[in-house]
This record gives sequence, structure tokens and C-alpha cells, in this order.
Amino acid sequence: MSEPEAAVAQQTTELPLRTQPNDSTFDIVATYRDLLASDPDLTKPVAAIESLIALLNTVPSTTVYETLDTVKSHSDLLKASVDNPLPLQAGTDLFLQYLVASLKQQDGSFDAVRHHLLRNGRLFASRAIAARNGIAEAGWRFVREGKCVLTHGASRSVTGLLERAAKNGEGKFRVVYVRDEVRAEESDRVVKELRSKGIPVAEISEAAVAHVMGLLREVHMVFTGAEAVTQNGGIISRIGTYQIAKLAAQAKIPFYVAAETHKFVRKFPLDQRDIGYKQVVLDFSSTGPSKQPKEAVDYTPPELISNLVTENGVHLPGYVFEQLLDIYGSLNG
Amino acid sequence: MPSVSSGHALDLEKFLKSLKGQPLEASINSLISLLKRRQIKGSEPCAVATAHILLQVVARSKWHDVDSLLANVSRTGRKLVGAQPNELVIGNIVRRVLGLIRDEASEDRGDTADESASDAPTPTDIVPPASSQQWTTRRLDSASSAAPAARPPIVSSYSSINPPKSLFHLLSTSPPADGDVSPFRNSGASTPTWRGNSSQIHALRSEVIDGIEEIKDEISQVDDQIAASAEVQIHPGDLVLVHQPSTTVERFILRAAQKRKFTVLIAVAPPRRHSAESQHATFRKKLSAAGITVVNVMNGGLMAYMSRVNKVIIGARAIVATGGVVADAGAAAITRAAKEQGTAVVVLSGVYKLSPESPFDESSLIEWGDSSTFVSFADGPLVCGAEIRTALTELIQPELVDTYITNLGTHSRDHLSSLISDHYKREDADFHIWEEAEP
Repeated sequence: MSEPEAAVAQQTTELPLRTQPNDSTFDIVATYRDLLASDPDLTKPVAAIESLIALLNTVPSTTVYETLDTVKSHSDLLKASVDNPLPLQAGTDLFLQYLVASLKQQDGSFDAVRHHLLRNGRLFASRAIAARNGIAEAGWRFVREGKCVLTHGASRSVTGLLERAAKNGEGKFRVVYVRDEVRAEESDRVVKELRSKGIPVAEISEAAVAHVMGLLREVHMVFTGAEAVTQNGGIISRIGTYQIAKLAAQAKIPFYVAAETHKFVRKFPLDQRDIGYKQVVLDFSSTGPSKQPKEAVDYTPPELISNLVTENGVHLPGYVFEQLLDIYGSLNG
Repeated sequence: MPSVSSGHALDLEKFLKSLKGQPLEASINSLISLLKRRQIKGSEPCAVATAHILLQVVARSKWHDVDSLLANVSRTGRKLVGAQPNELVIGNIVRRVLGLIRDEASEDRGDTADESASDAPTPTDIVPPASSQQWTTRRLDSASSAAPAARPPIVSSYSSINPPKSLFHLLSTSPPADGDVSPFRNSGASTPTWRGNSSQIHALRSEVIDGIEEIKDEISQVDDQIAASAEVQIHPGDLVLVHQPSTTVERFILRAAQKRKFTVLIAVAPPRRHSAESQHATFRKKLSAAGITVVNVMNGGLMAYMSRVNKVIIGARAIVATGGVVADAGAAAITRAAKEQGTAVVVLSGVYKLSPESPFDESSLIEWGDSSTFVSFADGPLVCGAEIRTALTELIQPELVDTYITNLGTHSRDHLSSLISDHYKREDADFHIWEEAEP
């Protein structure tokens, strides 16, 4: 471990996590929300992993199976507490599988693994954030001089990538930002952030996407982020992604997804109805205005995705399958 | 490929002959100018020349440890790539040689850096030879004293030079930067482990040279190995369309012609003013001798034939990481026509042409040629009034290709990424990016 890392690890051990008495009173949901609120850079899967590490800290080191059971039950609690459990599942599955795999190794004593996890909580978070820089490094070359990128949502991977590209040549490429009127504030924030880096941004409404893509050679590529990347290489992402992907495929514009590998999840959505939880987008009403879900998502199938840009480089959607098979050994999530 | 005419082959031969007599720097410079002047061109000659010059670098340049050898090779490699960035094979061969040196060096150390980097417990198949025990102990000694300084300063940036592999990386015990690259790159402090014993240096030198010889053998055998799968691909009675057949494609077709009766359509570029004799004449003669019906097709009327064609065979100049194929200009239109009609498109290419680079910028892969074959320079109004461009190569979109045949067998597009990871070290994959990082 290099020195700064050791320092990070040192800090972690000093965090007053042990003050919480025992697992019966440990509130994993509150921990998760605190973590997300306290660190705006944290992604959902990593926040879930951090919460589970905090959980490990509170339960006494008993038998392996007891610990695995505790982790599993708290993972379920955590997943039940949010609308969309898929991003969390990516984190909790990875964590559980890591525990199991480390214990399978001959030399991996349970205490050592536990100790390692407890000590390095912050390190994992910093690695996850570094992964985002890795995405920017891996993918910024797509955004060359004179190109125009269409994007929507507030993916930090995408804005990071665009900022990295802007560092190379300020004002040399342009961005078309698709505004989301349901989340006007967020759109304002992202656009402002991009403009502050010297990137010329054109804001368009969601209704204008097809028209803008039809303007020949005006838009060269689409970049979006993802909440979770499913095992077939598709993505679960902010609602609106699917239609943009369809329009891009129709206009033969490459559609790139910037996502960290810890968002890979063992889930095989068959269609829009199968996104892993119940989402009510259709609220028929003859009296008042319809209710809109706040954090609605949709599923974009892999056929519409040109490349995944991960911290490990640029890959085809099939990469997800290989990676998941590699660590889980099976795909029966 | 018609461009590799006998004249260019002569230049390559001349260059290879000159290697012995000249000092190393002079050979490197002459190769650079040959590449710049396009006197050596085409994938195979470029690959062969690169392998030869790197062999000279390993054999004759001054180096006393692995780091300086790697630095020598990558410095030379960078110059060559810079001389002709369109030829992706040059970079590929440089990467192969760098990977080879890393492999040999870590084997000599009895080093398990690679194993520790991948988090999955993999059985180590490197049995440390007796002599390497000494290395191991020495390495441990220096590890206790000099190691903290040798470690890279930050873990934070996953620079793409050293991307982690498994999903477990997030939770893994040690950052891979520790064992993976640092001893061979950017760390002055780790070199003491490898300084010393001239006999070990000598052993490493000869091992690396053997490895480069193997790469050269591989390049020379590629056509034969690819041709071995010809009988599986071409069936009796097939109508096979080839586009400006390269030697690889010619060998492939001729091999099939030994056993099968089929028809070959040769798509050629429209004749240019200077090329009086018909193209691919010897190839057609050989085919007719084998009893194969040959039809010459001018490039324009391809769609008309496509409905009857069973297979389109394209020789690649290079394949990029996404599966896109750099081929002679005109091939992309043919593959698109084939896609329209549902005809299978087969790409032939040696593994050495498979590049780990992603085509971030398509236009950088396209090579522009001499347009004087279309317009005479004496035609004043045209020369002044119009811009005439002629593309020699173009990128075939990966979705238009059905099958890739290499010397290692038949592959689908999804399989290419594992071929790439088999052949190139991850730390070498971004050879160009290095260049920018270390001016």
C-alpha cells in the first residue's frame, strides 16, 4: 500500500464507527442515506458497499455463515428501502461475492478479510471515484476538435469526460444538452457546470431530439451515463435515455455509455416492463394532474449501444457478460 | 494488395540487407525515412521491418537493465509510429516486443507480479529456475530498504496505462499499480534489482531476441495458416467475391482451388491512366490453371452481382479494437452491398494486424493517396480549380463484418477483445498515450 493510501486507511480506523452498539440497532438504511448525503461524489453501489462495511464494523466477528447471513439480510433491507434496487444490488452482490471468494482462498482467514475491509473503507470509495477519472481518461479522445456531443441527465462520468476533453482543447467541441423540464434545476446546474469549463452548450427540449439529430452532421455522438449496466450489456438509466438511443440508432449516430464497472449487475431485463422493480409511469386520471415518478428510469437494450466506456477502456456491450461471469461463475442472479 | 509491387519489396529487402553494415542509429533513421516516403508500405513489410529494427535495438543498443531496454525499445518504436501513424501494425509489433521483454524479465526474476495483480487465485505456472532464487532474495532485500520510494506516489488516477481487470479490483487488497507496472516503468529506485550480472543480461538479451525471431516467423507463416481454413469456408459451387486481393487472400483462394470448384469474382478499382496492364494478372493465371472460373468486376457494378454471391472475402490492412477493419478503399461499399443482400463477409488478417487501439478518430485511419493518376498535373485548370482526393484505405464498420479469420482460427467480433488481451500487455495497450504523457 502506498503512503497516501496508508494515510487514508489510518483515517478510516479512527472513524468512530465502533460507537454503534450492535447489529440489532444498526440502521443500514440511515447509514446509506447519510453516506450519500455527506459525499456527493459517491455512487449508489459504492455507498451500499460502504454501508455494509459499516455494518461489519458493528457486528462482532462470529462465524462466517452468520456474517454472510447478516450481510445478506441487511442488503435486502437496503434494497427494499429504495425505489430502484438495481444500482444497490450491483454493490451488495459485489461485496458479498468478494467475501465469499476471499474466504475460498486457502490463505484467506475470515478475520484477515474482515480486517482488510474494515480498514480500507475510504480507500474503496476513493478507488470508485478514481474510476470516474479513469472513464474520462479512456474516453475523452472520442470528443475531438469540431465534434458535437449530445447528452442528457446529470451523469458525473459524462461531465467528467467532457471536462477532460475540454482541458485538451477549450471551446473546440460543442455540446447539445437535452433539458429535462421535470428536473429543471438539475439541468440548469449541469449546463452551468459545462459552460464554466468553456464548453459551448446548446440547450434543447426533449421534443427536439429527433429534429436535431436529423440536421445532418450537427450531432456526431451521444454520451450518457447509467444507473446500472445489466449483464447483457444494456443499461438502466434516467428515463429518456431509451428514446434518445433509438433516435440515435435511427440516425446512425454512435451512442456511448460512460459507466464504472462497479455498476455492472446480474440482471437480464427482457423489456421495458422488466426493470427490476415496480415503476408506475402511467397514472390515468380524469380529475387531476397525473402523478409522475420522481426518479423514473428506462431500459436501453445493448443493440442500441455502440460502446461502453469504462475505467478499463472502451468495450463492446458483451464485455459486461464476460466480467460478471468471471467473478460470479454463474449468471443466476 | 497491388500497392506492394515488386519495387517496394525491393526496398524492404535492401533495407534488411543494409542492417548488418550500418550503425544502429543510421538504420533507424533510414527506416524512418523509408516509412515516411512510403517506400516501405503495406502491413506485412512494415511489420517485418519493425521487427527487424527492434531486434537490432535489443541486440546492439546499450542497456544494462530492463528499464533502459524498455525505454530504448519504446523510444525507437515511438519514432517509427510517428513516421507512419496510418500503419497500425508498427505500433502492434512494438507493443508485442515490449510485452515480450516484460514477460522474460519477470520470468527471470521468478516474479509473481502478474499473479498478484489479478485478484483471482490463478495457479502460477512459472517455475522459477534455480538461478533466479538469487534474484528473488535480492529483490526482497531491496524491497525492505528501497521499496517505499519505488512505489508510485498516488493510487488515485487509474491512468489508462494500468487499467485494472477484474470487477473485484474495487475491493482488492493491494492496488495493482504496486506489482504490475512500476518495477519496469517510471521508477528509478527499482532498477538496482536488475543491475549486475552481465551473464543474466546476456541471457535476457538472447531470450528477447529469440522471442522477436518467433514474431518474425509468425508473420511469415500467417498466410499459410490462414489459408488452412480455406476449405472450410469455401464450398463447391460457391460464388466468391474478392476485392483487390492481397497476397493473403490470393493464398486463401488458391488453397481452396486445390480441392474445390467454384467461381471467383475479382472486384478491381477502375483502371487508372498509368496502369496499362490488367491488374492481378498472375493471380488470374494461377486460378485458371487450377480450373477456376474467374470474372473481373469493375467496382461500380457490384450491387448487380451481389445477389448471386455467396461470400465476400476481404483482406485487412489492420483491425482496430472495436472490430472495424482498415481495408483498401472500395471495400466498405462492397461490404455494405453484401449486408443489404445478406451475403457473408469474411475478413482475413494475421493476428499481428489486430490493434488494441480504439478508432477514436476515424479520419486518422484513412490514408490519402496520390491523385495524379486521376488528373494529369499538366491539366492546369483542373489542378488549380478543383481539389482532388483519393483515399487508399477506409474503415469498414464492424457491424458489416460477419467473421474474422486469423492465423489462430475463426473468430467473431466479441472474441477479438480476448485475442487482444492475449497478445498485448495492458500497460502497453496505450502506446500512443504514453507518448503524450511523457514528452
